[in-house]
Amino acid sequence: MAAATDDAGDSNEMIRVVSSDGEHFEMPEAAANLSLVLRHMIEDDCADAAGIPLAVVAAKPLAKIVDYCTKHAAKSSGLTIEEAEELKRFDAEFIEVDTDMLYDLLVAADFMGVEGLSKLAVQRTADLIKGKTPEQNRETFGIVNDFTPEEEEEICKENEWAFQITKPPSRLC
Amino acid sequence: MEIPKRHKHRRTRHKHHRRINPPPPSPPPPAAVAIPDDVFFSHILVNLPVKSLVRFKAVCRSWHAAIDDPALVRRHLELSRERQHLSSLLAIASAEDIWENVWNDVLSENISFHRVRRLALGARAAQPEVEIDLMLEKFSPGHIAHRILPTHCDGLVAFATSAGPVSICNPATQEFVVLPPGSGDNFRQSAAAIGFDLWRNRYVVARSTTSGTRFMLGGGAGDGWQPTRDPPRPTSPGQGPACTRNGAVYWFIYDWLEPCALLRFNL
Repeated sequence: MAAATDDAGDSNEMIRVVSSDGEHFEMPEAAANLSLVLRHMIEDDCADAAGIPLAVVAAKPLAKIVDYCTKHAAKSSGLTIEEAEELKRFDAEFIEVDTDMLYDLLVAADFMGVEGLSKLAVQRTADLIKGKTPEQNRETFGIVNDFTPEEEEEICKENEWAFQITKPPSRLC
Repeated sequence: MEIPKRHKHRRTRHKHHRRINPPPPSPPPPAAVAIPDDVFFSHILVNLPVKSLVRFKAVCRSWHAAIDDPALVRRHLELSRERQHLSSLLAIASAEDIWENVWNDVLSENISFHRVRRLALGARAAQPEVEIDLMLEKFSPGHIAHRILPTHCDGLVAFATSAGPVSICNPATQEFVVLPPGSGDNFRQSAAAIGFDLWRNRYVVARSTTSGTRFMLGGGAGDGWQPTRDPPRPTSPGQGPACTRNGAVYWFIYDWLEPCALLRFNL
């Protein structure tokens, strides 16, 4: 953390944030600036010793987000190819989490306005669900199928190709 | 790097999915959890492939409505444009037999659309990972001119066939439309190009006719073709458009008497 602080640019000030369940975290100002919400709070002088309260972010995802921001703030500008690759590797490992954590991160990053992390979590979620069937998605997200059997059949028939894994070539005319 | 072998095209060919370097094992299935609707609809859906979206229309009414929403379609297109450097679309006309391709330079039997994707580079990967997907294949014996020059715009592909009609295809949604032939001219060996007309806010197709002197604009099946002003120089018969960029079509003019030229046709 100390090394990251030194690298973080002109400001070495530490910003304190408080999770919804009351845990305190610290990160360099440059790291906090990666979050749109925190940046606005800092600009408005709302960052004090008591810490910025984040009412909807629990300690578990917040700890991850602090890690993410600290890492990215330390390596924000003038990246060499090796550093950019290292950051990519960090991201890839960072987002290897269970789905509960993934969805927590997705929501928290969106709420805090951390763009890079938001994109990372969105892509990971999209990758997880893109190959699924409609039924699997209903199970995953607890959705009730509100189509009549006839309606559902019609949608499936209209878009038959999208339900097939392999498809014989079709003929024109 | 592995060199792809050339195979004869077979009519019974199944959709293949080729990956150089195997993918990592798939992660365990997630448990039932909730992502807030606004996050899900505004972030996740727009990042899904078209095929998944079409399939997910069957999940429930609210997903169906969200996927059909023109705003989602627009956003999806914007994001696809941002990712364009990672993925490209190929339209290939070929004959049943690879050797027929060599000898017969007029007609071919099928046209196929492929997605070529550069996967994100792995850490210090010695070679880029490339994935080739067959998106759509259409057979039309004797109808598709060999050496067609399809033009692309936002994933739509337009090309003229030897029998006359111009076809438009959206391989991502498997939509394939044959435009009405129009009247007046003989359209044999006409060439077509698709582009986006900002003024009309729609996709339009331009084509040059056999006489090489007229462009026609078609704004969709309902509109038919409208003649436009004659170009300063006739286009070469059978010569397709070079490309479409920023609302203009570039036609290549080649004849014996005058120097070659590029004709710019503003949509």
